[in-house]
Amino acid sequence: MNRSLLQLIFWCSAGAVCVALGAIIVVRVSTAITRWRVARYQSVVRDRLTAFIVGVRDDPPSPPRGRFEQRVLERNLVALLPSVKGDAATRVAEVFSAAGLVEVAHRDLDARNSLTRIRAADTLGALRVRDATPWLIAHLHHHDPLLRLACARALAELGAVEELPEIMTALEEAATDPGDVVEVMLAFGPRGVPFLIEMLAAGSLSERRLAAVALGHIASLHVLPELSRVLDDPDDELAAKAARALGQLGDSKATPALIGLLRDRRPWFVRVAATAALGTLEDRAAAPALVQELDAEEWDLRNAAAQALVVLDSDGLEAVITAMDTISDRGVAHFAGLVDVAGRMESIVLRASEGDTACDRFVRRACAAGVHTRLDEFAAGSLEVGHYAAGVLAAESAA
Amino acid sequence: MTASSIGADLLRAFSYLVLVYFGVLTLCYLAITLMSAAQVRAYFRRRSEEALVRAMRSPLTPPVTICVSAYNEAETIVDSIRAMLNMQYPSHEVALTNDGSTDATLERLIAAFALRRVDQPLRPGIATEPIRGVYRSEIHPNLVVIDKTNGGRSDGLNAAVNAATSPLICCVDADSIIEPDGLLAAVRPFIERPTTVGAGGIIRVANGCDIDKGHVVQVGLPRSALAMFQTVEYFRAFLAARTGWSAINGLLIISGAFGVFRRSAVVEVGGFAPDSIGEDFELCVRLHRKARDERRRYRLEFVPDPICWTEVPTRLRQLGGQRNRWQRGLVDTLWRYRSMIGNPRYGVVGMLSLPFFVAFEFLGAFIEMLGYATIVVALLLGVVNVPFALVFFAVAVLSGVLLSLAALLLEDIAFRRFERWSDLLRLLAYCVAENFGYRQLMTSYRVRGFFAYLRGNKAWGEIRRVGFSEVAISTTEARTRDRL
Repeated sequence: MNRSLLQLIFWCSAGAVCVALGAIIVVRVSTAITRWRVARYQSVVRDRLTAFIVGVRDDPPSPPRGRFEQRVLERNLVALLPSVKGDAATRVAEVFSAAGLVEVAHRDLDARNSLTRIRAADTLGALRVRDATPWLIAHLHHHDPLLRLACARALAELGAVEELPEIMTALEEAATDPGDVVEVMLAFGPRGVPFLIEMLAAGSLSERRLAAVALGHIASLHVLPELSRVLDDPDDELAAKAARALGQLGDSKATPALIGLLRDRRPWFVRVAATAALGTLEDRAAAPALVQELDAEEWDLRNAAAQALVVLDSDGLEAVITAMDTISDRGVAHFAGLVDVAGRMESIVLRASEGDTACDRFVRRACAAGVHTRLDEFAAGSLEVGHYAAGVLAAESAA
Repeated sequence: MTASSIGADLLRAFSYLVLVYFGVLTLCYLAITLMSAAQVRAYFRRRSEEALVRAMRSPLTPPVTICVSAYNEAETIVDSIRAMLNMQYPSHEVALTNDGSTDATLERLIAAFALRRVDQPLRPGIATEPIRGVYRSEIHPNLVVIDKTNGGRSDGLNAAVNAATSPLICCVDADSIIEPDGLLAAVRPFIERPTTVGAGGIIRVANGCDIDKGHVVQVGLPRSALAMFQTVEYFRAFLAARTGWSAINGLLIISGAFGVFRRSAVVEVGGFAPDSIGEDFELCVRLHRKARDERRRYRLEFVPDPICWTEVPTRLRQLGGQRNRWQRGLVDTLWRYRSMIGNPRYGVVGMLSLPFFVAFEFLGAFIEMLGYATIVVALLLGVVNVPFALVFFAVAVLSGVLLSLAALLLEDIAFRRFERWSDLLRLLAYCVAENFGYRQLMTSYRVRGFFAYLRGNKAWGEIRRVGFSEVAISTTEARTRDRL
């Protein structure tokens, strides 16, 4: 390697270091200047803006001068949006419009910087700028998938239900992540339900799954028959999602369909979904079916069943006691363990010590299955219940 | 041709080889830094304050269980757990394993959180050392404490994973400080892409920050020079390197100090390996292997957001022990998964990430050490002249400085956590100073780590923590790895 090559390597390295150093300094200085300008403008505008929005003053802050001030005001207004409602939200929109920010956001939808484009769409949606609907639709097929998503979200905020098919097409084309698609659907709220029902019935498999999830979260009771029908679908994942959605609706009319799904012997995750949904519905009619699942091979299914029975409180306990001879030790231990976690084992032991035979049976069976922490605690004391607990423990150890 | 001239030629050739190696290494790291910059930009297009507000309100945000394994953490555990319970997240629980502590860790937890022993059934998913008891809090229904026989950090985390009821688990160190919105940020990839199986975030040095009740209230730089060097290193390792690897789904490490995983994926691969020294690295490689073997779509993501703060060693002996352990963990994992290295079946991981780790992270220490030694010997024997030796050293230093500056630039553009000019000047000074002594020392620890691994040393060593509240806390981080 000759000397000049060595020198070249050295100077290249040194040059690169200088460039990096220079870049750091430039970034620092430019950011410092920007921050100073922001702080200076905010000190003028913030108090007046707050006073106007909360209704203390009737005159809005004077319109921003120049692009920079417009940007700062826009960020301030957007930051305020999540925390304001009613009149205050209207006043925010008023300031936004008076400051010429609607036109700015419109222009920004075509900005070169992608972040600016996305922010513009988000802002138009958050401020519910009705005039923005055609602009947002026009950008639904933009090459930037994140702008498409932002426009879809904004259109949802504006309640443009009639644009839902177009939105779905645009998002599908851009292979948008499923979570994002559901978020857009949720933003439509109950207005989007008819479209989602249609999608659930006639969409592609992935669309149907998304629709089931969204319908569950929107929780409109009108969709109960449609979701119930989907439980019979051969696609297990769709059936599981529909089951969970039915649970979220909270209507016990779904109980028979969910019990049917539980008895269908579908894969365990479908049955877990059905069991969890039954737990959410808190319908005592489901107790016998849930008790059967306490003997399931899969831990998650046993757990979901035990949890659902614990939620049913005394009905759940009664159902377990009634069927106790048919339940395995493992199932009893799981249920009793969760009863203990819920803080109810203490009262059951007390009732048992006072002569409640059903509770006594349960306590003895739970003890035999290995759930005896409360008994140990009581046995350490000298009260009546302590004698009872010591007796149960002694009988168990003798057995 | 005499033997001495052959020797001289060999020495000279090796010197040139090392110089080329430095050049390639620098270029590779710069390429990764550029990928990181693109990834950070893409991330900020998605991540805004509004997006986090949306996530906080969204019913789609999945519940998370924060899994912690604690061994003799009596001094800090209550504050840490309190901070975890108060995190900004719509639905989360904390599953803490007391891994056979010999101090008052469990007693303090019982007193602080009104814990009550319960008969809670635990999922038998991953085998662990025997469980002595499960406790639930009467004040915080979302806190569960598992008391078990000592088995090491991995075993403790596995017990917490078994107790977790959420689809996502967040594994953290007992002394980690997580940013209030850190969990929300780390969970976003799981909401956006259901194929995500793991996500990590940037770990920052907490030394020098003002910390109150488990929260960082004022960001600052450490006073200790050793901690300052590590601050610069952490910029490089997390922001510049891991973010870049994540861009091409080649991320090999999600730090044990903070990592979110899909529980089912972790259980499926058998949880954290109790016999591994670098359990975080090992788990990630195992997740890659499993998914690639089964030809599944998956992602291991890195969230370029400052999410977690951790205390770094301020004493040379502890730092040496830590680096020694890291190197042993690296060698151990590379050896376990040697069949993946260069194997096209494993895609980016097999063809890029793992070979990179072998060439630069593992062999780098040896080549650098040999390079320094060769130059000195060659200089003494007159094989190379002084200008060559100077250029060699200057290039080594400048390449190091360049990588640190690139990471610092990225940090400054993206986050600007250290706002004062004096902080910047200190960081710049340490970017340069680390190349004179510190870097060489770390290289020597890495070399020693390799030989320690060959000798079969699997101990974790000991870290004496100063403690976030500046109280001298003697927390032995033996965590009983020695028994493994």
